Amino acid sequence: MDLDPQAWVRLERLAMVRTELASLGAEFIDMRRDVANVVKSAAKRRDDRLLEQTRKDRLS
Amino acid sequence: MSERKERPPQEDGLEKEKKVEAAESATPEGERAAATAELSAVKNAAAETSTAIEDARQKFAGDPEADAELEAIFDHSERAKARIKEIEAQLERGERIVDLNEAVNEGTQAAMELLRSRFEDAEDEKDRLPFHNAGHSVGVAARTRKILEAIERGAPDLVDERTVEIGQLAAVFHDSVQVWEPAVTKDGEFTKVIRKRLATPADAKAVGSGYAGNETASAAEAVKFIDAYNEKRRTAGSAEVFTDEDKDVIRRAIDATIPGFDPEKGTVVQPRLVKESSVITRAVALADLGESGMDPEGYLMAGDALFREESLDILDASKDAGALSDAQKDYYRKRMLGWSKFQPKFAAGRKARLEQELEGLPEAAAEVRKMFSRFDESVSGSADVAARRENMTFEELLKDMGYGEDQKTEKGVEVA
Repeated sequence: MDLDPQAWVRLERLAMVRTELASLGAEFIDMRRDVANVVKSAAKRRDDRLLEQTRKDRLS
Repeated sequence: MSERKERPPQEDGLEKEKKVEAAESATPEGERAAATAELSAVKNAAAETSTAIEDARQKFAGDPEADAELEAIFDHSERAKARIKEIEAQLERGERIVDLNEAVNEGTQAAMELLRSRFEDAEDEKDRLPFHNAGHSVGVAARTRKILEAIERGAPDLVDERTVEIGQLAAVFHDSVQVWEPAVTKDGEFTKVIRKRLATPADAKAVGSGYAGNETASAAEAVKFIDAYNEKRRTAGSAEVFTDEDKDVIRRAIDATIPGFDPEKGTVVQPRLVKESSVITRAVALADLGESGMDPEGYLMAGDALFREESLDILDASKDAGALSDAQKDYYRKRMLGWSKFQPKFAAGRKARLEQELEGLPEAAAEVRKMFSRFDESVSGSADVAARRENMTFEELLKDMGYGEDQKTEKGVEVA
């Protein structure tokens, strides 16, 4: 395709923007995965605490 | 294509082909739409992430370990969100400049068509202007860009891409209207007929006209283009490209190109270019009279072109020089030599005025001064021409000053 130099500059700029947006999109996916892991660990700690409490209650 | 159907390429080859095809078929408009859609998707992802963090915080409020980890993720997401905002602004700004650039290119074409039809292709020879034609305006636009780029180097805060584009639009329209009257005076035993440009209302009043002046009318042409362009954008459902402020800036810039004369320095000045003038006004005004400092070769040609344009009687006389008496020839010859001898003084006067004209631009004066480094070449070059012409006959002078060469106009410069 024949594009003038300004159009190529614009294409290049938009391509860079799209690359960075894709990278940011991937970062948010990772962040949500991290949140899910935090939730999972926190839930396990909470369950463990509950179990421990239950065990203590039963012993007493 | 038929070969591909018969023998499918390997998968990685196919992928590579697809990428090449995608790159070849990419258009700025398509990429812009894709980037806008992706920006929207990333903003949604950011919002979902924030909700997930907030939900988790509420659910495990009493868990210090979860709190600390969620705080770290929250900080990360806030930084990413800030970057999204920057990209959004950058995208918007970039696209606005692209839109403005397209609009100014269209305006430049419109101005060129006006200038060519009015001052180059006019039926009446006297309406065909050897100096104030498309070439002069293209030259002013190119010099305006160079001056604004120089100002940007010295004072980056004063100039951005928008400044340069609006400066160019002002430059290409600045001489788009040239109303004139023949000024007839007695000069001894001869009658002198000079083209009097009606630059100001006072010039117009002097010939009994209520006309607002060429520069005001030229600015109105620029504003007319701007209004039509904005209207076209609105009709297409797009945002306007030009603002009311752009129109004011262009009006003031063109207004500042109204010429006056400094008898002390023997040169043309622009009384409306003042210390407080904006960078665009200063750039267009300096560019209008900038040839002697920036382009000595162009200056020599422009001087002759302006003489041919102004001296209506000599234009007529040049048609049939053989019919003139020796006394008439001598009279015209003296005027031609007088003009030639004035050219070095004009260039020297422009040089002497430069510092005054750079007042109000202290941060960038050094960079702009570098653009105006060729006054001495214009002074010596035009002095050499004047000396060479001293011994020429009237007929030789006519030829040397470009009479009879309809196409010999001010040297055009490509707009960057």
